[in-house]
Amino acid sequence: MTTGLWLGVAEQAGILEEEGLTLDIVDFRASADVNNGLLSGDLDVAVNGSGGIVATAQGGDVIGVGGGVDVSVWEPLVNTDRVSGWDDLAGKTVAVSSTSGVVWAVLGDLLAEIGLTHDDIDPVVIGSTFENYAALESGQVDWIPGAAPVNFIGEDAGFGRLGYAAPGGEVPLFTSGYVSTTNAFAAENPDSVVRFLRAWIRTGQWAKDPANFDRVVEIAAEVSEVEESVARRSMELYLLGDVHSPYFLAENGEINDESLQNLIDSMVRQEILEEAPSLDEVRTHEYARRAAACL
Amino acid sequence: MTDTIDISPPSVAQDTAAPHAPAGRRRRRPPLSLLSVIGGFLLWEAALAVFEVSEFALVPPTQIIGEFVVVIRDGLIWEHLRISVLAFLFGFAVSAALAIPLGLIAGSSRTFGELASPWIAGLYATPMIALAPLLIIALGFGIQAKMAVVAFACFFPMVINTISGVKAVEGSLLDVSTAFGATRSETFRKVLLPGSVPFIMAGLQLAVGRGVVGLVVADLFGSRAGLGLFLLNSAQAFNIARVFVAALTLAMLGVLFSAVLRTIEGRMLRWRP
Repeated sequence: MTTGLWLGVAEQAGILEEEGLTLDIVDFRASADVNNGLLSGDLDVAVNGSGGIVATAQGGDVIGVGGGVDVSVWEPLVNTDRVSGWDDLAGKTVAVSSTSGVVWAVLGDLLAEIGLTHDDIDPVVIGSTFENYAALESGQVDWIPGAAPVNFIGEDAGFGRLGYAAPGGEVPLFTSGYVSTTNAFAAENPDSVVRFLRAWIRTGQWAKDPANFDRVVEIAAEVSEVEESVARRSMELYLLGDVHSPYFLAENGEINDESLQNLIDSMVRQEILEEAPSLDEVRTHEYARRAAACL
Repeated sequence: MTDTIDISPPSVAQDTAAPHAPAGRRRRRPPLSLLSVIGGFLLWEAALAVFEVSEFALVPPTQIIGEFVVVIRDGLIWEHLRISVLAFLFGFAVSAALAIPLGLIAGSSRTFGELASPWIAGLYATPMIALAPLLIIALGFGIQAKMAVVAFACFFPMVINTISGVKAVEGSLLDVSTAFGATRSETFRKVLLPGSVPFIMAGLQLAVGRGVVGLVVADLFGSRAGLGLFLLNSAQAFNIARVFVAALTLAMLGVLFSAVLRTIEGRMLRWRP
């Protein structure tokens, strides 16, 4: 719901059609696969997690052009028989998607708030959030970093949500998802990128309009194949909540520099990246500004 | 009408092939396999120097060697290698312990063979990737699940080749055995079993490749350590040279295990003319 949902919303709200955009939308399981698609030239634009930063840091031609999610959306979803709270996470088995991406970085910072490091937990690399949740359900792991809608599905199934930050801590500002493309594609097709971002900004505005909330919930339930109550709680969190909403689908369409820098710094601190790329290497505001100017 | 037939005896032909070779010394053949590998890597390096290929698709062998040095120096690969080798060895051994006796029985007993045949054919055709998650759910993310996936992957080439080996034993040998009054047990031990060894060994060789693939598949569905996980992590970190390090390490394991099997086969088949 942090990334894949919004193109569905744009489509069903008629925004893509109004912008004259006909998209060939391809679903991927992992962020790294999306970036491989960009690097191979098979994908023109991607809406996904911020794994593109890792690709850019390794010399890949991936550039963030539009803001998506600029706040951490993950919280520990725990088997309450085995984990009683934040302080109890040490030594417990956790399912993760990878040990080289944004979730791993966020997890490191969240654990640091309670005086733990990655070395204090027992990670098992499994796959997507839904696959990790399946491992939690089957009792194979004690907890997972869960984002909506999975954490709400888990809550309904009897698992415990520990919150987006440790008690007394703050929800980290992290770029968790963004719109990316390649410099090569953007240079050759600047108008296409601008048009896509204009549709993207309009989708955010439309989704955040309280008048459309019920319709957004309906689309979210349909696109994400979850129950209406789960979709409603997820959208309340992302579109109405005080913590996440301000950093979700930014009004100006830009990636939040503070969130992006936080993520880069965290990745370096946690040795996911060897060297910090500069902000200019990993994102540009140029296309979002042009898109916002012609709204 | 100039067709000729060489009627010289084999020993003479061999002598004339190497007229100047000193007695008791064989002419050493060049190590073609090694030359092939070195030649391939040189071509690879040269091709990348000439053609413009994305470094996210292919990196030169020199860069891979450099990355090999880094992962060894920094100790990044040892735990993954240890887990994978253990999983492979145990999985392969368990598979052989089950598949070879089963194949011998299925090959020598028509009734049992017919009962087992649809199961063997059906499970052999089932993609391993479909069953791996089930094995992992049942056995967890430890080494046991990897062993089970490797065992499953290795099982079918072993059992199918063993059955073929038993069936390929010459009928005349069985007739002689019967004529000399051998019991069923003696016929099995002294004729069927040794007669099928070449096929069994070929099955084991085929199983090595599938077992190595099984190691990677097992890591795709949940893993704490293993070469498949090392490969996956490297790919997600866009460290292409390290992806090749993982892939080549897996390939080298396969080559090493195959070489060990060939040595064992050579010793077991000394009796053959």
